[in-house]
Amino acid sequence: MSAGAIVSLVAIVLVAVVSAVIGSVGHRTRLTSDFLVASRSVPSRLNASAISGEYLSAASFLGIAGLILIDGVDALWYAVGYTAGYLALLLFVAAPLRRSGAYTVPDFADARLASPALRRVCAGVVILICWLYLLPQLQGAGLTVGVVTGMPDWVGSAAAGAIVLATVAGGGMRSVTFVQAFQYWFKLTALAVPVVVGALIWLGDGHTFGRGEPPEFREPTTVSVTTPVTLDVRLSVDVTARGTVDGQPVDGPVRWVAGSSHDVGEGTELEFAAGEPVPVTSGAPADDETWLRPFATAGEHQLLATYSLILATFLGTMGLPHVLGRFYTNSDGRAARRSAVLVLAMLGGFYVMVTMMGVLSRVYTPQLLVTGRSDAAVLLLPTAMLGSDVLGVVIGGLVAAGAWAAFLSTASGLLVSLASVVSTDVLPRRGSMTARFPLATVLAGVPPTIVALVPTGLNFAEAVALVFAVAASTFCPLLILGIWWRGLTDVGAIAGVLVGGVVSTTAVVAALAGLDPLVAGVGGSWAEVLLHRPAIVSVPLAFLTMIVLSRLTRPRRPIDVDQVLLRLHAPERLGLMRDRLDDRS
Amino acid sequence: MSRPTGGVQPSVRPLPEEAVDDDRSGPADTYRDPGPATGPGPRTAGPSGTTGAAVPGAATPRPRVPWISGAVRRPDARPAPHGEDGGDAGSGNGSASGGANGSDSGDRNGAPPEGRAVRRSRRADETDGGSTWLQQEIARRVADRAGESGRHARVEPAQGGERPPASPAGVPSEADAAPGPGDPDTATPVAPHDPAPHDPAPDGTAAPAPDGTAAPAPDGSAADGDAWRRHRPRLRAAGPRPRSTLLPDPYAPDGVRPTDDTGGWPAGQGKQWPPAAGSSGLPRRVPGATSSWSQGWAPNRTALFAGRAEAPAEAPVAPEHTPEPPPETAPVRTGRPGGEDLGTAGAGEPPAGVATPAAPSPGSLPAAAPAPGTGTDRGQREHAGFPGISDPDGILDDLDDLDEDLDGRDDLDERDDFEDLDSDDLDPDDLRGPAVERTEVIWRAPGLDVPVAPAPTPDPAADPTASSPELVVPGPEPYTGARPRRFAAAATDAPAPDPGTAGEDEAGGRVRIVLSERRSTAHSSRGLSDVQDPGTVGTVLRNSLVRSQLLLSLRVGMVALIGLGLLPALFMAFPVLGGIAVLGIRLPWLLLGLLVYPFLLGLGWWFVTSAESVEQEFADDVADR
Repeated sequence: MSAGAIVSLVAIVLVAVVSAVIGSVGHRTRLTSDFLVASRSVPSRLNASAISGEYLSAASFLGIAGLILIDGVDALWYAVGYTAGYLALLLFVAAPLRRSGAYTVPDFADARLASPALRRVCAGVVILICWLYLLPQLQGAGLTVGVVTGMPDWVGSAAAGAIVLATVAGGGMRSVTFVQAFQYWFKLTALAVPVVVGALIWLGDGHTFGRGEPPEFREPTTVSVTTPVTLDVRLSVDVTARGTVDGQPVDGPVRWVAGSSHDVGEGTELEFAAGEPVPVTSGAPADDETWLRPFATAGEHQLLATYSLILATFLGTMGLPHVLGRFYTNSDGRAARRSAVLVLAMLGGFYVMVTMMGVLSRVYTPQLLVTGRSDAAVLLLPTAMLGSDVLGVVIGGLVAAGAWAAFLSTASGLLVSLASVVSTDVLPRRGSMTARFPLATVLAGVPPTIVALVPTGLNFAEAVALVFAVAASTFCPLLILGIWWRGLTDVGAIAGVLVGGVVSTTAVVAALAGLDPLVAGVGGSWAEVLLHRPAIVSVPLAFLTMIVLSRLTRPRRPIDVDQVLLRLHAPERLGLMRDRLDDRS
Repeated sequence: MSRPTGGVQPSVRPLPEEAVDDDRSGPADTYRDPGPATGPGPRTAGPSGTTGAAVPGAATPRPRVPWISGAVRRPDARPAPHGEDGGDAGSGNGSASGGANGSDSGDRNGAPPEGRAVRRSRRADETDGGSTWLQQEIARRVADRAGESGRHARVEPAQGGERPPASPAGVPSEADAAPGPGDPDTATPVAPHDPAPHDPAPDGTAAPAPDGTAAPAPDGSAADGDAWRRHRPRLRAAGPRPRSTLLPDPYAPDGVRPTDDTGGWPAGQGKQWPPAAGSSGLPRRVPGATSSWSQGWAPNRTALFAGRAEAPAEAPVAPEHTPEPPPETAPVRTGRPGGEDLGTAGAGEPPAGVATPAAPSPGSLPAAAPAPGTGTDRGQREHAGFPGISDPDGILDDLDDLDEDLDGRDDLDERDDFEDLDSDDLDPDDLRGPAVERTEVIWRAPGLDVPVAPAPTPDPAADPTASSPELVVPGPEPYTGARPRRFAAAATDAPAPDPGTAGEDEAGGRVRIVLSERRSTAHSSRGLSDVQDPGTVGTVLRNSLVRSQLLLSLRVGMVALIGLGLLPALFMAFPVLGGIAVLGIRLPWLLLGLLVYPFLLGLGWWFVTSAESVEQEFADDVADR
């Protein structure tokens, strides 16, 4: 194990330990409200940090930079969408949701429509979203450990799962709040330091993207292909290959001519000399000039895909259970709004750093273009820029620890939401919260941890965008219509959530399972695009279903809808806000 | 907090008017005068001490009024008033004093109307009978308080919002004011004293500053804000009793007070109070004494006013207060027990101030000297100790006083309008003398009133209106009763606005002020019921709120969607855009990688401020109903 690996491992362990310490210091969490919403005593600035820390996951820390490395400016829509989602949350949901006094989405649904059936449906959707969301987080942890130490990915995934389970089961949300606030600033630091150093180095070597050539290997590089890829060769390149190329066993120097395309089999090793042009996976912009421009990739229906992505991220954020849960820890609706604005600023600062990391990785880690495993870009960048000397090793350890902080914070937030729902809606209401919560945590956290041990080929940012699509298709219509429309009925809400959930989940599962070629064969390229970006269909469908069915079942409107809406929108000053928790426990 | 300021401003405007009114209208003036008188009052406390036990009772009730006018902050002042009130309360001022305290808050809340009726009846009873009446009142008060607490809380918040800023200044003024009320009753008898008391009062306010000189005052001022905050918690935590205990001690040991003041707040005084009352042996309020004292007061007020205007004059006055008042004041304070919490610190001082005016006025000068020293104590709000304390606070108080004065005047005016009761209260005050101790417990709420100590406000007004003294005497007691209510009402309104402007701050202020109520409690039951009404009115109100908020959200959302949503189409339609470099960065990268975040942040900020203003308007509408 190299010095860099040891340093990185130490840093990762330190982050985990510090998180556990912060999380366990001074928390006396023995009431239901303590566990679930930190007793709503979290100041808005701290809460904003915690929200940001919880929200910035593996997808943001690793995935977006990797997508920028491959796709260029088009990938910026992920970062923009993740941030704009908070604006939508702020505009339509933050204050009213906080004033509803509910602490989970099922609670809100129950308060608004008083339907046990809807509550169960919502609980199911929460579990679905959290599990889908946990997968990329845990796999990101595994990838990080794998990249820095060379160990199999599942080791890191299992370790991350165990740590998160222990933290959440032991402390509940109060401890998680401080952990996540700490982790936001740690993540920001872990990106800002390499970005500043890298920018200085980049300016020093005068590299520019404004040229019609592919990136070059800056030093002799060996690339191991772990999943089959198809490489487009823009300029002729000499490569020493060992393994399978174009279906033929190869062992020795090969020359790939310009304009050719080659299929590289699993387990193949490719050696490139310094200065050779980098072949890229098919579909990605092959040269830097194309990479700089929007819609440069070869795929079809780019506009459709982009708009669908914008819709999913814009509306999906408000449907994420762990994000909503965070807003319950605000003292009131005003504080919820203000913390949401602070979150916008914090996310913006973070994503600027992420964008810079993506740009720098195009220069210093082009070998990732060959394998398509671009998620490792951020992790490899420090040593690629600085070499394996002290500075490179230290910054590499910092980044690895920051990545772990990202997984831990998001995963713990998801697990808290998951355990909240499981403990209140799934488990029998027997025994004290103190006993039920840890049990719920384990029950909710083990399945995704096990599934995460099986690798998937999806980029983290794409996987998370799929989850956003599910959230946007289920909870977003429920929340927006529930908060702003008197006419919503329980039947309409259940139908809308189910329709949106089934449509989007089907697409997500198919995409995760790699069924897109099959679908593309049946429904054409449109279908394939929609499979990865279902939001543009599923979200309007869910809204439409809810509205139509609610109108058809008009008599089922809750009698107290006016009072409930008033409570959601009345200023705190009027004293109408009431916490659901007080009623329940 | 902005609202509070706003409230202050309005109050300021009224002040001049009020002042004028005072001059013009005898009765009204009298009430108002008490306010001004109250300013002197603390100083008068010294006199009261001199006058001895007799005066305290009378004096105390009136102080209550000032308290009310003063802001909540004046807990210290309250104690003093309470101490006085305690005696009064016993008598039936309870309605005025205790009632004033409680009623004030209650009035503000909206409960006032009922409370007023009850109080009126009580007052009448009080005037009629002594002990029985008192007992009845006590029972009523207890019941009322239970019901009114909410109101009080509400009122306080509003006041708190406004007053907090003023509180520092207000405290001293309040202390003065507290005495003032007492003065009215006693005032007539004391008439001779008036000049002296007045002088002290002004001195107390001004003198402290001089003595403490700028240093104490500034410190006090700076500290005052903090101190208030700190104190408030204590107030809450500490029951009335502690405060009451505190009060006596301060008075008895005026010299001690300074030290206490400097080091400890009302809390210390509060502890001492009960024992002090007994131990100090200070004469409890005697109606007659008070009356005489009050009379002396009125004249003093004018002098005081002048003194206030003129910083130098104050210094002399201060001395008077400190020395002599303590003994006498101590008893008075005990009387106030009701005021206890707030009053503890302030109460103790006010009595002292009163005492000084009456007998001490001559000797008070020396005392005043000590007072300045106490002034260093600044931090402590014991206005009562005021000379010393007042100095530090004095400066602050002066500022606060301005605000408070305005408020107080308003209150006074309101009182005048509504409350004949106040006049009735005067009688109760007499009764109060004996009942003081009992009242104390009840009077906790009154403690809140103490802050009202609007007396300071009156002072400014008083200055303009030299004639005010006479008027002042009668005014105080009645005002106490009336003031609370109106004040409460005013406060409620004010609070509502406050939240909007600075909900958090206000809330904090409220909490401090209020002993037990929640901030969130709906202030205006009528407005709230309108909003919650299932009928047309409620529907229209609710729909207007939801619609305005939804339109706002959609407006901001559309800007965001158009701003972001047009970009992909533009990039697709005009590939040239991808080739444009701005500052060395391609336009798409610049837009999507950097500028989009400030854009979103700006939209978010725009929305938050707009949404809060919408809610503010809505809350105001509801509050105005």
